[in-house]
Order: sequence, then C-alpha cells, then structure tokens
Amino acid sequence: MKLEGMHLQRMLRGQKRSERVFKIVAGGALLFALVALAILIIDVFLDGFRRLDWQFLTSFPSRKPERAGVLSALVGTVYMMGLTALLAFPIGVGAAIYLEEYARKKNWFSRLIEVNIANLAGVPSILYGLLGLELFVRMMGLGRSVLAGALTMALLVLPIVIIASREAIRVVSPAIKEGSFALGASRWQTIWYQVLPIAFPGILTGSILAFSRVIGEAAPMITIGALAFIAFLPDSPLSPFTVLPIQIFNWVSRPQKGFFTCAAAGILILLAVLLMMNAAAVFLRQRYQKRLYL
Amino acid sequence: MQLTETLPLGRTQEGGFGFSKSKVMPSFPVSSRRNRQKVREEAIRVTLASCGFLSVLTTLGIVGVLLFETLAFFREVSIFKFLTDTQWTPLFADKHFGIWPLVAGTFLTAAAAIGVAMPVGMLSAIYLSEYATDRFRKVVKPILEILAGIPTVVYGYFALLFVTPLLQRLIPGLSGFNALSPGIVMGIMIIPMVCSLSEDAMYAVPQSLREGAYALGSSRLQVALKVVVPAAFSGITASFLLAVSRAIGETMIVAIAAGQQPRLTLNPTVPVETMTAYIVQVSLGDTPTGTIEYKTIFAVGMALFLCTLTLNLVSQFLRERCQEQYE
Amino acid sequence: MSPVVELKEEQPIAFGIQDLNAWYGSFQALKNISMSIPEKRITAIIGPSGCGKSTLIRCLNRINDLIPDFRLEGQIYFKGKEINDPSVDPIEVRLRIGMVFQKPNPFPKSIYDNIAYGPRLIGVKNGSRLDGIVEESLKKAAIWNEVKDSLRKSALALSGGQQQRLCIARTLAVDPEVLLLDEPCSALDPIATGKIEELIYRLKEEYTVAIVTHNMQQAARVSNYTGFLLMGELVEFGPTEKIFTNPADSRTEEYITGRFG
Repeated sequence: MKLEGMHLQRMLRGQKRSERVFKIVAGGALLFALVALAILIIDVFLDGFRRLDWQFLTSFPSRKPERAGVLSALVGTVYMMGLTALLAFPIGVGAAIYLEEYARKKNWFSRLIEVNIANLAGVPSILYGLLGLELFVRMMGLGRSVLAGALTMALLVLPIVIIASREAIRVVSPAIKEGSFALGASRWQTIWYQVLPIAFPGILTGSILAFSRVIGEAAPMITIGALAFIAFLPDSPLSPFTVLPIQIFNWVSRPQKGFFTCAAAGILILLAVLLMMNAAAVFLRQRYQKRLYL
Repeated sequence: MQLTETLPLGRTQEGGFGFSKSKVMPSFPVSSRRNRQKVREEAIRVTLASCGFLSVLTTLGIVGVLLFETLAFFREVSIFKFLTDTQWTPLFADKHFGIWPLVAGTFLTAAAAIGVAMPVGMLSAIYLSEYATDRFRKVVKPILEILAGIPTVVYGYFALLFVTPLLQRLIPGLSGFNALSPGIVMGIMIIPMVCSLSEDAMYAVPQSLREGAYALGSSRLQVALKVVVPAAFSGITASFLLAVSRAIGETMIVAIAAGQQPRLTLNPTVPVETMTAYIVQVSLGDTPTGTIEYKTIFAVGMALFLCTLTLNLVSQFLRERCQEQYE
Repeated sequence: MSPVVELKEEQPIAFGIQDLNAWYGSFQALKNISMSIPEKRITAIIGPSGCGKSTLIRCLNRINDLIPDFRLEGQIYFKGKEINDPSVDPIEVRLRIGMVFQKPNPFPKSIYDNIAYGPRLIGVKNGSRLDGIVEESLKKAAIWNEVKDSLRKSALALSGGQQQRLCIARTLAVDPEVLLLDEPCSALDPIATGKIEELIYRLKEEYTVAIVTHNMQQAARVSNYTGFLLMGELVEFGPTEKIFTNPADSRTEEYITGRFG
C-alpha cells in the first residue's frame, strides 16, 4: 500500500490544487458577505444623500415627497428610546445582579429564569408586538401611545440587556468581593460599593449596544399601531407617535418614486443614530477598560 | 499567641473570639443593627429576583395572549379548516382560513435565506477558523457583525429597490414582489449569525484532533472537512436551526419586498405573503378588536411562536451538547 | 557541549539532526541539538517536564509548523533529505513519519472510520481493501481481539488505553516508516502502559521508533538508545545501558538516580 514516487507526487499536486480552489471559494464566500455590506451602504447613500438637508430634518411628513421630513419620526424615536431605557435598564441590571450574585447556587427558580431568557432572545420581535397590542394598548388602555410602545420595546430589549449586564458583572474579580466580605460587608453593600462601580461601564456599553439593536425594530411598533403620518411632536407619554423605521417603511411602501428617496434619506439618518450609539459604546469601553484592569 | 496558650481554642473568659467586642465594635447592640440589615438585604434580594421573574412573566404573557385569542379564533373557525383549506382570505368577503398559503410563503423566503446564509456562513466560518490568521480574524469579524446590526427596514429597502431590479435582469418574468429577493437579502442578514455560531463550534474542536489528523498526513482542507466539520456537527446544526428560526420570524424584509398575496405555491418568482407579513398587513389597517380578522393575527402568531420555539429549543439543546462533548 | 554520538553497532541512520534551535515566540525551547536516530531501533528521549523533549520530537514530522509563533533553525535530515527544505511538502513528511500523542485523540467517529481515515486520505476507496488494512492495523496494534465485534461503535466509547492503541493502529494504517510517540502512556494506568510498551517493543522489527517519556523505567525497559534533555540542551546521548549504568555526565546521573526532575 506504500505510496511510491509518481503516485505520491501526483496525489500531493492534486491536494495542493484542491487546497487552492477551496481557499478561493471560502475566501470568496467571506468576500461576498463583505461586498454585500458595502453595496448596501453605498446604494442607500447614493439614493439618499442628496435629499439630506435641513428641511428634511425639520419637516413633518407630507403628501408631497419633496416637502416631507423626518422630524416627528426622529423625535418619536428619541422619546421612545428614552422611555424604554428608563424602564428596561434598571430592571435588566437588577435581574443580571440577581442571576450573577444571588443565584450562584442553581435552584429551580434561577434555572427557570435562565432558560427563559435564552428562549425569549429568540422569540420573533413581532410577537412582542402582539403582546403589547393586547396587554398595553387594549387591556391597560394606553392606546397607541409612546408609553405603550416603550413598554413593548422594554420587554423586547430586556433579555439582551440582562445578557450584556451579566457579562459585565462576571468580569469583576472574586478577590475584590471576598475582600469586601472579609471586612464584614453584607452582600448588597459589596454589590453596591464594589461590584457595580467596576462593572458599570461594561453594563452601560452592553446596554447601549442592546438599545441600538432595537432602535431599528419596526415590526412590534407596527402591530401596536404606531402611525406613520404624525404631523406633530409627542408631548406626553400618552400621545400617538411614530419612529424612524416606521416612517421609512411607510415611504418604501408608497408607489411614488420620490418617497423612495425620502426612505433612503431616512435610512441614512437611522444609520447615523446607530453609528452614534455604537461610537458612544466603543468610546466608553476604551475609556474605562484601562482603569478596570489596573 | 499568649491567649491561646493560656486559654485553649483561643477563647476568652467572656466567651468572645480572643478579644473583647466592646473595644472593636460600636457600643450599640449589634444584634438589632444586624437584624435591620437582614431585613433590608432580604428586601433587596426579593426585588432583584422579581426583576428576573419579569422575564418569565413576559413569556407567560406572550403565551397567554396568543393562547387566549387563538382559542377565541378556533371557536369561530374549525381547526380542521385551518389545517386543510388551501386559501387564506380573511380580509375578503368570501373568507377562507387555510394557513398553508402563509406557510408556503414563509417556507419559500426562509429557504432562499438559508440557501444563501448556510453556504456563505459555513464557508466563511471554515475560512476564519482554519485558514485566517488571528489578526485577519480580529479585523474581519467585527465588520461582519455590522451586517447583523443593520435594521431590517434597511434590508427591506435594499431587497425591493436594489436586489429585485438586479434579479429581474437575470430572471425575466420575476415580478416586482417575490420570495426570492427578500429571501436572499434575509440570508445576507443572517450570515454573521451562522458564521459566528459555526465558528464557535469549530473553535471548540480540540487542537489535539487537528494534530492527530495532520500527523496522518492530512492537508489543511482534509483536516477542515473530514475532522473539524464532522466534530463540530451538532454546533453547526444548531446554527442552522437558529438561522431557520430567524428567517421565519423575520418581518420587515418580507413585508416590504415579498408582497401581500397569500398563495399556495413553491414558485419563488411570484408575490407571496409570509405569516409575519400578514400580521403587518392586518395591523396597518384599522381592524377593530374582537373581529375575526383581529383574532387571525393571533392564531398566525401562535403558529409562528410554536415553530420558532421548537427550533430554538432544539438548537439550544444541540449547542449545550456540543459544549459538553469536549469538556 | 556537544555530546558524542556513539552507536554501538553499524546501524543505518533514519534521522540526522544538526544544530537544531527552536523558539516559541521569544522562548528558546531547543538549543543546539545534534543527534542521530538509528533505523529500526527504539530511541528514547528523557528529561524533566519542560525540557523540550516534546518540542524535539514534534520537529521531526513538522507538526510544529501549525503553531503560529514557532521558529526553527538548523537541519533535520530524514534518509538524507532535509525535511524543512522548501521543496518538501509537509504532508509527505507526515505521511512517512507517523505520530502518536500524549493524550489519546481518536476522532469522534467509529473505530473503523478512525483507522480508515488515513488510507482514505491517500485514495484507498476499495471496501475490501480498506477492511483488510483496518484488520491488519488493529492486529498490529494488539487491539483487534478487543474491538473486532464493535468496529462500527464510536471510538470515544473505548477506555483510555484502548484509545491509545487505536491511535497507534490509526498511525500504522498509513504504513509510515517512523513512529514518533510523544509520552504515549502518560495518561494511562500501569496495565494499559504495560500493553503499550509490549507493543512498542514488537514494532521495532518494522519501524523506526522515537519515544518521548518522563518515565525513566520505561525508557530503560523499551529503548535501545537514550538521549537526556535538560532545559533545551541535549546533555547526553548513547546506548540505553550505558546511559543508565555508566553515564558520562554528572547531570544525567543525578537525573536517573532521581535527585531532581
């Protein structure tokens, strides 16, 4: 069975060839994904950047594409995300603290929560919309308001905030906690004075990224009935509202070509908002990472 | 150390631990301070635990709401009709409630998405895990992750106004709304997920197996395809199932680019409607609560929930098994 | 100091190693190693852990190429050919020089597929021919009787000692000229170790064997030649009886009498 001279050389040459071919195919697959990303961004940019001006930023939606703007959608997005953060951030961090610091011994309760969070993260967002529609809009009588939207979004973002915060809390070295306990501190004192100050930048970074994930969600907002045509700014948590993704969806769904340009411009603004949030997260991480590992 | 010599076990006459309490602790009664602290600690623990429990309530809420309205739906429409009728026309005068057209639309778009995401994601994962240098990986992975962070409406726009016109040049007769284009775009969106989950699974394959294969004279490609991929199989299957779950739950891309015509077909070039797109369609109209149209979206939501939950659970099970395998 | 290579008998040389230096990043693992490994004999490499003995043996089939920051200087001749020469395909090197690792590393496949893996790589597709190779290899590795009825079962279900013999059989299946054994018994119990030693001793009829071990008794029991490595340097190399009864270097003596390591 020994491979001799010619046969061996032929086999090795064949292997080299398939090696080269595969490298090109696999590298090509990777390139395909990266090129798709580039084309997507360039395409939207070329379609929309001419429409981006002060008028577009400061106008309400209009029946005429050239007079339409994103003001109400932009303000609605900021308003809703603010409310969502107020609701989801403390609860998410609280749950993360519980799971990391209190539920160390695995009992049925913490197992239940863990399995549940893992599964919630995989539930399609539109189903949160159905929950929000029935629970907040109908049963709690909040109507199609910013508050109903924010509550829905809060439930949607909660699993991601919890997962991100847990990772940040887990980084805190047990030595610091033991040191605190050794001085007679209670569990909560240890968490409040030692764990949270160290974990906070990480929690914040993770949470900002989590919020940037849901800021582009349109599906649950459509089901709870956010409207696209809002010619005023939300003035209370109970006023009707729209958000950027809905406004974009609305424009894409119109037959007139002019609105496609508006959609592209709206997308650029949405992407800019996302970019700013991600930049903030990266900045926070860079700034505090060094201190953490001193 | 004198104390321990005179008094075994380090005890003093007062019964404390080697030193008199009054010199170290404040003079007020310690026990009442400890008690107050205990109550406070317990209150905090319960508060934090209820934060965690809220997530369980969310699941119960989703299940409850879906179940409640779905049962109401099935009081008016028989389950038999739901599963056997071949038309879905709840918004017309002549109402039919057969779920299959929506399932077909969902299946078609998801199949196209998987057709793109699986090969591209897997090959990218093999490239990153078996061929690329660490530095290359560190640069490329975050860029790839951007794909997963782009809002789905943006992909919808891209599918409708870039990919569909492009495909129409290649496939004459492709209609403006179709299953193919949003499917492909959805696939692009899922690539990073498939890639990073598969790569994790391949990364978990112990180096000793690779060395064993190299020592037998395998080429890099043979190691990758005959040892690493089979060893990582359950993790790769998990990423596949999760990708399917993502694809059938994805809403905006198909709502924008696939159309709103429920149709029992396996032809990817004609307009279809997915389960998610139907929910959007009804939500956009002003459908009063309590009507049969209103209930249909919950029934469809329930079907969607059951599909994705099953896929997610199986996927999670496989991933855990994959982790255990090499511990 | 370069140890004198004195071979007891006139024996053809399989490996000639000259001025070998090796680094992991900035850590030098091997320093100026020169030695010869004779054909169809068992050569043991002993030394305390971290002395570079695994590094040395891993250089012989270029498996260290896979470690990103590994660097090597010097020459390794196998049957007169420099194996690190750019014209040499590492795959050919590994086909001709087999290796068994410290921890048994069977592929998560059936016993049969583990053995058939190598032959399949080089294009053996014929079923009955594969069956023959599998049976022959398993017999050579003295495990046939234990697994002949469960060839389709997962290799991971075998015990550690069986897994290691399976790995040896897997290596024999590609019919190499050399067997490199990197502490093949360190993860095994004494009974399994005994079986493998017996096997190694029989294999020298057909193969050149190089074995790394930190177990001196094992080296004394199975090998014809022994090299002693200390902190990356080859302190002494010679016939096993001489190393163990009359070492030339005081450090070797200290090591084999158990004063350190």
